[in-house]
Amino acid sequence: MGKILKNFITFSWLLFLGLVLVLAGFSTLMLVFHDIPGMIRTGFAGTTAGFSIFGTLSFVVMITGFVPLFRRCYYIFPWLYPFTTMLMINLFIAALAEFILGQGFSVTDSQRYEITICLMIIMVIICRFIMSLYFKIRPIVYQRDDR
Amino acid sequence: MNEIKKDSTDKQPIQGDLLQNRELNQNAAPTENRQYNNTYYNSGFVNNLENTSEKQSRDISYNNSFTKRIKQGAWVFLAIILVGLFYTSNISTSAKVDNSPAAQEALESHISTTLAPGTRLLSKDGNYVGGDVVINHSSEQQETNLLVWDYAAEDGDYVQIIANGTPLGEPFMIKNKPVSFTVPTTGDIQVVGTHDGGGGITYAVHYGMNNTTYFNGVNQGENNTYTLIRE
Repeated sequence: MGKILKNFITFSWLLFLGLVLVLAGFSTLMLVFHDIPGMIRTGFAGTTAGFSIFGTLSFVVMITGFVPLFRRCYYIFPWLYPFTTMLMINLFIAALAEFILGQGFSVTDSQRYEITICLMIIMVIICRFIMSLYFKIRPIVYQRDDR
Repeated sequence: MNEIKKDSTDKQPIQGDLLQNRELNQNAAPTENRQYNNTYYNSGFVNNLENTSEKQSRDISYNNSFTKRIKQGAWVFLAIILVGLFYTSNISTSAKVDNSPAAQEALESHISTTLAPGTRLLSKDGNYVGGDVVINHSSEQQETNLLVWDYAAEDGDYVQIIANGTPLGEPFMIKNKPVSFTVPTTGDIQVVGTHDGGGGITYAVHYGMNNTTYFNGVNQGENNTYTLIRE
């Protein structure tokens, strides 16, 4: 009975985590293809909600990592952990880009716009380079004999 | 993502097979700290516990590199959340809504001499459109401090301040945290609504000469004029 309950909890959390990851992906796409281009096109910053979304979803991912019952999701699908990590990092980079644009576009000035856009592009490149380097040095490897 | 697959389901110890598989995997994580015993695991299920105590087997699965990696990631996310909470509480410009009786009175009268600059009255913009204001004062100062902020939601409202026909900087986004300007104590101070982020451009101005806050609103492209008259 205990095992059935544990499995039920794990699979329920797995479904919930799946929804969270779908939301993370959708948010990243919205930031990259809607919010950021909208700010650049209009020249005005709006409400920047990227970090709020990232913080909320990070809480769920953090709980998944700490609680053993929830962590079993990563053992059931070994690809899930690197997928989650990459998705959250991408969301963080998009949220940071939106934040930089929001700060730079808070004053209407064409020169400030150019500097802000350049800073954003440089930040994205550097962050993705750091991410790639990190996973090159410390790849996430799951071996079946780890269980 | 690398994964080692096992073909054998034999219950005999296969430590040698594990070593062979490890050599084939060029991108394997460091395995120096991994401790093998006579027990092997097939698809996550323990098949042979005869030579190892159940506690030892639990310790091994608890301390494996993949689990450690997951926990490290969880700690990183926790650190990020704590940094975010610190930023929200200390650095963020967003303020909490004031529901005190003085705030309620200011919301109705659109003027206050008791509320502090930077007071937020609404959680959302209320589409309020005010008008021009004539301010009579007895201050003998030539210049005074003008504070401008958004007393509702930070939704991307932009205004520009023009003092006696001279723009004081470019249009800027008003937030809950006041922005300060130095303006003359006589003449016309215009607040031009440059961009409406939604729900109308709601702003508040506080004049230091009479210590009074005016909660106003303007449509995009229009302006409110504050005529300052020294008595």
